[in-house]
Amino acid sequence: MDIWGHIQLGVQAVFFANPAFELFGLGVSIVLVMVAAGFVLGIVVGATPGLAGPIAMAISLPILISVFGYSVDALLPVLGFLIGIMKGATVGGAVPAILFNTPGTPDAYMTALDGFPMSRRGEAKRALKIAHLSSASGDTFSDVVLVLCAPFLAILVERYLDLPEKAALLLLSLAFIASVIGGSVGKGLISMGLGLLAAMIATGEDFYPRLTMGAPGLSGGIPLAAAILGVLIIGEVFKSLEELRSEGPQKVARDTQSRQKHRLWPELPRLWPHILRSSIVGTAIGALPGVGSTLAATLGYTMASRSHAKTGRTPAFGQGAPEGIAATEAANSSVSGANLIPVLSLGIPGNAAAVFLILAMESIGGFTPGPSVFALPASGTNPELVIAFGLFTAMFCANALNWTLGGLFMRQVGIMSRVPKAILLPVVLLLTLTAIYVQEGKMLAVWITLAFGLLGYLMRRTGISPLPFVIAFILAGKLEATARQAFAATGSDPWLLFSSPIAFTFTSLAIFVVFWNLRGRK
Amino acid sequence: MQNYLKGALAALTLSLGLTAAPATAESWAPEGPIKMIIAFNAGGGADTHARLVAEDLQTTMGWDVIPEQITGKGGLNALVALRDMPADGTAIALVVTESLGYNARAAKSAGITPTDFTPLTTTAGFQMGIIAKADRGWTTFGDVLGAAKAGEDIRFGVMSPKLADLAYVIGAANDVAFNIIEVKGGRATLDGVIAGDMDVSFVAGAQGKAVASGALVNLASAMSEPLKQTPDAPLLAAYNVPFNANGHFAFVAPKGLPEAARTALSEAIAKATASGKASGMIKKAFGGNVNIMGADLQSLLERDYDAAGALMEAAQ
Amino acid sequence: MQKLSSDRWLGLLVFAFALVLLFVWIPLDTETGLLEKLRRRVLIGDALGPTVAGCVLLLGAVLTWLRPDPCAPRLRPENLRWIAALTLVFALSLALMRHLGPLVGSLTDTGYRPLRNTLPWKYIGYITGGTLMVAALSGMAQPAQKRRLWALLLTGFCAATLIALAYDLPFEDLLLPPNGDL
Repeated sequence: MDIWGHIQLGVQAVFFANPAFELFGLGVSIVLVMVAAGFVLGIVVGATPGLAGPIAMAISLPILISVFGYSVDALLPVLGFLIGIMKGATVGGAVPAILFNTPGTPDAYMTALDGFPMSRRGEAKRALKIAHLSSASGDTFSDVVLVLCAPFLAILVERYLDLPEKAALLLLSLAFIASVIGGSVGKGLISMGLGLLAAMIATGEDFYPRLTMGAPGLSGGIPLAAAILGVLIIGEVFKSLEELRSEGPQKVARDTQSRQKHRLWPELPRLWPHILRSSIVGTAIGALPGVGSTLAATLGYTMASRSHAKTGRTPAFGQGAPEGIAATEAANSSVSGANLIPVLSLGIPGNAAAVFLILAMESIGGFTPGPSVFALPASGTNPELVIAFGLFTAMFCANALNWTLGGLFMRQVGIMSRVPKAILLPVVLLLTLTAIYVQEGKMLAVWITLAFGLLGYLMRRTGISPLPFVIAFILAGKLEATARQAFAATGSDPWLLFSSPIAFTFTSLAIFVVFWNLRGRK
Repeated sequence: MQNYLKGALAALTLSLGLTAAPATAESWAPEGPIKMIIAFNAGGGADTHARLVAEDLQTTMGWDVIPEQITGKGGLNALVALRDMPADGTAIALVVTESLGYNARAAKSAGITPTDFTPLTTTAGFQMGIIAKADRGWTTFGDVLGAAKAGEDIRFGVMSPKLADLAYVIGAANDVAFNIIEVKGGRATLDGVIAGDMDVSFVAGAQGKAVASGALVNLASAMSEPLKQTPDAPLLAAYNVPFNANGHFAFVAPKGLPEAARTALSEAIAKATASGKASGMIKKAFGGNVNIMGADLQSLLERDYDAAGALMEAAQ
Repeated sequence: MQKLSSDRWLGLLVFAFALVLLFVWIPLDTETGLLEKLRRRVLIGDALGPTVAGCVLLLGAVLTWLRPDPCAPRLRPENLRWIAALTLVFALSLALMRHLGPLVGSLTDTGYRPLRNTLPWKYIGYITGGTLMVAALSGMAQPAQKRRLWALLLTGFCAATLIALAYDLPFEDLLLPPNGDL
């Protein structure tokens, strides 16, 4: 079947498969219902300080798997829901930043710089509308780039990369991630080394479970979910709870939202250059694994600030300039789609949200992110390609929802900022531990999760970013397996990482990236 | 061949003779929920058919069945976990016969033998073939050997140590050396050939669709009998190889399971593989259910365990 | 002698850990070495992957030692006390969660195992342990507010019960802690 056939099947899988209920005599597909539900949940979670998209994705995943099971049919509803959360949280994150000057995520920090002054001037509604418009534009732009780029990148990889080159490419991405995330190359490497090490436990090829120190409970290896949720979520909860102790009672911010009518379109001419510039910056950064939305937001804001200063318009950035909100929100939202380019075409996650999408794919099975997803079969269908186009369709459905109803929802969730963290966080913790137990079925998994939570806490307290750990943990198995296979396939060539021009380029780039970043920061 | 016939015959007699089964087996019911350990990754054919069997047992027998994944080390992790559970029918596991044969023997530190368990029934057999992409122009495995002798490096994909040994022995018997690539999971060897990372590989049934569409070819049957899909593909015996890759999915329980429980469980599982949701899936993925039970299965497992040593020696 | 900055300490500790990993743990706890000879071919052994991880740690430790960040956050004594408090809370609440149900169940004729998927037995451990966990953490996070004990316990109880129901009512195949261990 040709590419159009696959696209049609993918679209059909979203719109017509498994109607959840009837509406005006038409079945509404379960995938659409899940995308919408995820989107709404995402906005709520994004608007709640202390929660964020990844936490909601982590907690929903085991519940979703219990509902939909482990079949291929489960992929689109589950991934659709997670993508909905991802997109909703991106939009929702701006709400507390604008209304109460309490950015829920680091990405929204720059939004508060201009959003909160606008709120104080009584222009909260205008600020929210601008944030929504910019966020939805950036997100959609990024998705279009994803759909256009991922398949071609995957086909290139499949055509030109043999096993040694694939091993070198994995090495390059890990080197890149360790050097650019967080404060220093050294700490990035420590984080990555720990992730690699944890993934090595009990996963060797020999029947002896390596590095388990004879503990039979570890002979199945560290469960993927335990390590990831432990370091990313439990560690963060430990840290936030401790910080609450010294913060004292939460200040209840005053709602300054005005009721005046406001039209957005007259402002478009002054906003769109900033939205476009930030979308391009965010998309480019998103496509690189590991760089992340915070850098995109900072870069988008700084660039916009410079060009805004030249025009001499008032208000200036930092004093309630709508352009500042537009530049930040477009930049941090356009990361999310582009981040799926390395996920789908190479199987390499770039940020926490992508980590949970890969976790979902690996838990359910039937879809292995990587170049084979986009392989066009000589005859018959490639079910993974159908799923990939289904995913793209689901993303655009979420975008449509975002454009039409996103702004409306967004203006309703300001109340979430008042949920007390001291109750919310312990409940999130119990929920996460329960989710792990339900999946793994043993108390030991809960203890392992808590141990990784402690590790995540210590990393945060010593200024080590946990993200290289998580990405290394996910990629370690793949890297080792590819290296083993490449070594066997080449008849035990010790120079396999340098033997072909492409492999040589990747490997030297990996070394270069580490040392260049070492030099660049001081 | 005889194994299969015998198994099918046994299944037939057992299912026809249900009324003759001891009364205790009919009235047996598990005390509390049954834990069903699955030794395979979620989402694959092996996992799916186990979960469908669990669903069937729940609806037809009214038993509370809770599936749980314990993967890794060729099924040994699942078997080690099962060994220490109560032998009262509330704990069973789905593994492959290879786990209790070659793998149990190769991993001396795990200390597992077939006598540590009460075998219940097999559910399906492998349709193990050696495959290649059709556009390579090879029609039988002899063509691959020809290419190797002419100096081409051949990458041979396998998904277990036993199959790696077998691939080595196939090469040694024909004076060629393959570059043997071991990967995890049956799907990975199929993907490897399609992606061009491997030239040929063992696949245990997942190749069906692609072979039917003409994208892949079965070059040989790696079993003691011809493949159902490609009956003309030669057997390994045609290339001077005295070994094969016969194998089944099998449910087992801990040692000392009472006879009534064993009969009741075996028959309920066999029935689930022959009718209901599971049977359709098994037919599609593995070419139909195969139920070898009781003493037949016990002796099959013991024979596999004993025979594993010969293959290991030949692959030294 | 000058006091070491926190990054220097970190570098030193990770360096020591990496050395132990490379020269003690890996050699003792892997079977096949860096490379192994199997079927007349040299293959990558089980020790190579962990060794790479160890080398990455070593490199990270050296770089952190050589270029310490003077403003890097520092682990303080109160952080360690916080860890100790957390450990205590989890030890107590998870012990309750794991053992209370089987303890009460052992008073019946059959013991707990056959009852582990029936009401009210299956909730005993989870809800008591979960209540304690949420109440204790919530109380520890707001020491200044002097929340009443019963209010904290009630919050914990509601949270644990709601989570238990959320998993247990819709899904037949799921077992709450500790019922999968039995």
